[in-house]
Amino acid sequence: MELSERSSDVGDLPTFDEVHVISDIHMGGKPGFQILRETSRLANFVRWVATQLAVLRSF
Amino acid sequence: MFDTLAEDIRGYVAVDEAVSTVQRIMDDVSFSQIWNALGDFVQKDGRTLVVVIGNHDIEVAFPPVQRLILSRLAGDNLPARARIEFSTAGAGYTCTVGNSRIYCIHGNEVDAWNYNRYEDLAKVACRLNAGQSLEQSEWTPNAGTKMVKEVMNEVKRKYAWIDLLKPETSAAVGALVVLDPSQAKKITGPAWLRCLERLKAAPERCRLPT
Repeated sequence: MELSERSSDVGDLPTFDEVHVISDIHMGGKPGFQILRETSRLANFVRWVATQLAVLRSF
Repeated sequence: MFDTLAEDIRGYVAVDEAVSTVQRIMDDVSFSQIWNALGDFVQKDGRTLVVVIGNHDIEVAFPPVQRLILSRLAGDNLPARARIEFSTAGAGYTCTVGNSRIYCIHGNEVDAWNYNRYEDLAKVACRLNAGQSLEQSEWTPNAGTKMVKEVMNEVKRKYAWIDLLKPETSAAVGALVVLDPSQAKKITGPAWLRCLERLKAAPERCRLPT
């Protein structure tokens, strides 16, 4: 999530420019018994999300 | 976030072995890229990482596990630690984006099979903070956890794709009845029916308004 300086009109809820939800990651189990297999794709996605605030603020 | 139901733990919840179990997951090379990426994420200004509890990572409600995650992702960097938030009381997480209110939940909050008993999680957290433990006999797992630990994990060793069938209670069980009736009987017998009856009688506080 990327924090914004903007205030919210619904009380004191945190306000973000973007929210990215990753659900059911399921990190666990020994190799061969793991639900999560696309670890590189997920790690790259997290790194991509981390770059987005700079992209938004460059507009 | 993680999946202790896929780990070799005693019983249905890791209490004394909660930290070592999550530490093993952190140390597993299969997942290290993800922990590293999340650690890099919280090093950046203006970011917040919110960890919302689900039904297969209930140990995230325990203070020692939260301290472990904070340490793994942020070390002694106080601003980075402050960018990590835990929501483990079953309330989900709410915030706004623009003029919209956002409400994030894992989903098991509205699933009678996989609902967490948050009072029981708080009891374990209290015990751990007090330097005490919890006997496995003191813990009542939900139906989904029993199904995973007693049936699905064994089935997965033969049919690895069984995890992909959702919802488990219809698709996975249906496939199981055909593929491996002996396993299916474990979750269609009298003990399970009694378990389901108890779930039906569970108080409405476990349900979100629809």
